[in-house]
Formats: sequence, structure tokens, C-alpha cells
Amino acid sequence: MSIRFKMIIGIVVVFVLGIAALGFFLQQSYTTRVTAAAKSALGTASTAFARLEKGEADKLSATLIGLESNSAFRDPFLAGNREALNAAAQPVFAGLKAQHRITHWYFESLPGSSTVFLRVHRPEQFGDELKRKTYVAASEGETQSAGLELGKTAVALRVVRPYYGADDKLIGYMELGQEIDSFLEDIKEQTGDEVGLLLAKESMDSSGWADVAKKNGKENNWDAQEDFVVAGSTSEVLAEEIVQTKDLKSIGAEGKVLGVFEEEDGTTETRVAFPINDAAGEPIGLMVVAHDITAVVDEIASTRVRMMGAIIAMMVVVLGVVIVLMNALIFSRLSHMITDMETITTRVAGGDYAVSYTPTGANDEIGKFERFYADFITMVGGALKQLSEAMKQ
Amino acid sequence: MGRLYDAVAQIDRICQDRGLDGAKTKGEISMRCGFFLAIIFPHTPDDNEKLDKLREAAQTVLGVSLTA
Repeated sequence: MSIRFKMIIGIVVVFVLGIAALGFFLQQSYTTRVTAAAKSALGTASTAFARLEKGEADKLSATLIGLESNSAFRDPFLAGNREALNAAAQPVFAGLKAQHRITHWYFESLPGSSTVFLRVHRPEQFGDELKRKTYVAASEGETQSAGLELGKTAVALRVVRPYYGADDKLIGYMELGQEIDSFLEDIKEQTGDEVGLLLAKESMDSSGWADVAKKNGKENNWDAQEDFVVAGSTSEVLAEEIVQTKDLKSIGAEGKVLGVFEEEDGTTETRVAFPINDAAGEPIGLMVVAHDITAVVDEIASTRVRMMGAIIAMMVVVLGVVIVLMNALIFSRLSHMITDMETITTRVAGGDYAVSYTPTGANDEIGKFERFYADFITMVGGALKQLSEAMKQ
Repeated sequence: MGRLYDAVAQIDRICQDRGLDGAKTKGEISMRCGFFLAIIFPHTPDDNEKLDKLREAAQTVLGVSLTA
């Protein structure tokens, strides 16, 4: 195998390793950027949810403050007249429901009895004991308490405030709440992402869930997922994909990137999930967000192709230049030198002692060897001539 | 005269007859048989091993079987 061939093999091996290393680093870069995009989507969605929850809680709180000062509610509540209170509250509740998506309104008794005096949203049901965390926190501290509460079949944002009489004496508690289904569309509107809500099944009621599904004309999806039930989604596709996701229970407080998925329509999306907590900070479910990263992936792919192409082209040019230079400076000269040396050596062996080698005059490694060979062949020719003449006699 | 010298003389004649470059041709044969034909003289002692190598080299280079 010629030195030229060995060197070309070496260069090609370096070339291939270089391409492989480049491919590896580009893949690393792809993974890093996609992960960053996914984490950014996670941060954006969880922040949007937190802002939305706070904004809606503030809205409920402000509404409560307005309602508390209205004697049309306070007087019948103090008098224990449930019918009169309900009659006064119903028109107001209809407006709150239609304009502000408020779905729950409670008048609650003082701690001790801790019962529901009136559910404006369901007046036929009252007198049951209050155990919800928001009520307990509000009554223990005689202060406002707000947060999500997971019931048997749904989760709602609730705000409970102490209810004072005209003499500033605590007369009970008033509570407003709203189901958070609307949060999904709000988050979608803010972020452009598809969103799904999962609720932890462990504290929910499967038969109650089935009843609600039947009442709403929906399929009972209680058994679709092991630990959670899909309570809502802005996308049916996402809802179907969520139930196939494994190991959702292990998702910690910081949330998790569930992966990057190529959709049938050619788009690429990353799916992330973060926990939602109730008023006591206990996890009650997950928000799953599908964020479209097609533009990011396309941009990375385009950059990868351009970079790969540019570097391969550069390596081909370098390879070509190296081969041309090696040929011109080494192998072509070596080839001529070998031919000349073979001829001269053969002629000396054949008795032509006067033959000589003329160096090219190059002042490099090959030039030095040529000068050495020229001197050597002149010396050998002379010695052989003397020897031949001596042996002839 | 020895057979080794006769063989070299035969090579010289072939080169002359064919118009070959004597130094080059004898050099090629020398390189193949491993000794200098230029220092084979009439008084050079015969050596069967050298003669065999010379015949073999001449056969390869010139394509002839030496009679010496």
C-alpha cells in the first residue's frame, strides 16, 4: 500500500470522524435547544396559570367586598331568613354568573355550627357541615382565604371572607367560587398552547363523576387513566394523548417535560405538565400543556443542514488542497526521483560509472536527500570504476 | 575463459544485435542476479550458483536462454 494511499485513508478517516463529531454536537445542540424551548413553555404556562388564579381570586375577593356591604343580604342573613336572602341574592347571582363566570355563592355560619346557611347556586341544599380548607383557614384566622378546592367531581377556585355586620361584629362567612374549566381557554388565549386539566382521582368520587358525565352528555372517562381523570382540554387530540401518558404521578412541584412529539400534520410539539395545588398547597391535579415548537425545530434543522453543508464543503476543499499539495510537493517529486534513481543505479550496476544524478536544487527534505544521493552515486561510481580497473589487471 | 564470462559476453552480443543500451540492460540483469556483470572478467572464476542466477535474470530481461 503506497504512502499516498495510506495518507488519503488517514485523511478520510479524520474527515469521517469529524463529520460524526459534528453530527454529535449538532444533535446535542438540538436536544439542548428543544429542552430549553420545552422548559420555557413549562414556565410560561405555569406562570400564566398562577397569574390567572391570582387574578380570578382577586376578582372574587373584590366582588365579595361589594356584596358584604349590601344590607339587602346582610339583614335577612342576620334574621336567619333563608327564603328572603335567597330571593335577594338570586338576581345578583344570575348577573355574576353570566358576566363574571362565578358559579358558587355561599352564606356560611360562624365556627361552632360551621354549616352552610344558603347556597345561592343550589338553594335547595343547605345545613351541611363545612369542612373545606378555605373555610377552615378563613374561620381560624378570621381572615380571607383563597385557593383551589377539589371536590368529588370538580375543582373550583374559592374565596372565603369574614362577613361582618353593621357594627363590625363577625356574623358569618361569605364565599364565592368559580369552576376553573374556563381557565383552560384563558391560558390557551394567553399562550397559544393547547391545555388539558387532570384531577387526582384519589379524593374524587367515581360514581359522582359518572353521573356528571352522563348529565353533560359526555363519555365517562374515569378509567382512561390510572391516577388522574381528564377534567377538560382545549384539544380533543391532547385529551386522547394525555390518557396514554405514563408515570404522571411522579411529577414534582417543578413540573416536567413529558417529551417532544411529531404530530401527523407535520408539526412538532413539546408536552409539559405541572401540578396544581389546593388552598393548603396539596397537589390536586396536573395541568398538561402542548406547546408548538415546529418553528424552533425547523430553524434548528435548517441551521444544522447549513452548518453541516458548510463544514463538509470546507473539509472537502481542505482535503483537496492537502492532496494536491502532497502530490505536488512530495509524491510527484518522489516518483520522478525514484525513476531517475532506478535508472542511474541500474546503469552503474551495468558498468556506466560516469553516470551522475542532478538534484533539483530544492532546499527541503527531498532536496537534501537528492543532494545526498547525487554525492553518494558519484562516490560509488568512482569506487566501482577503480575496482573494475584493478580487477581487470 | 570461464563460463561466467562467456555468458556476459553473450549478453553483450545480444545487446549489440538488438541495439539495446548495454549499461542499462546489464544493470537490470545485475540487479536481478545480485552481482555486477561489469566486474566479470575472463579470469573471473566460475561459480555455478552465480551462473544459474545470471541465466535466470537474462531469461527474464532478454527472453533468451544463455548457451554458456
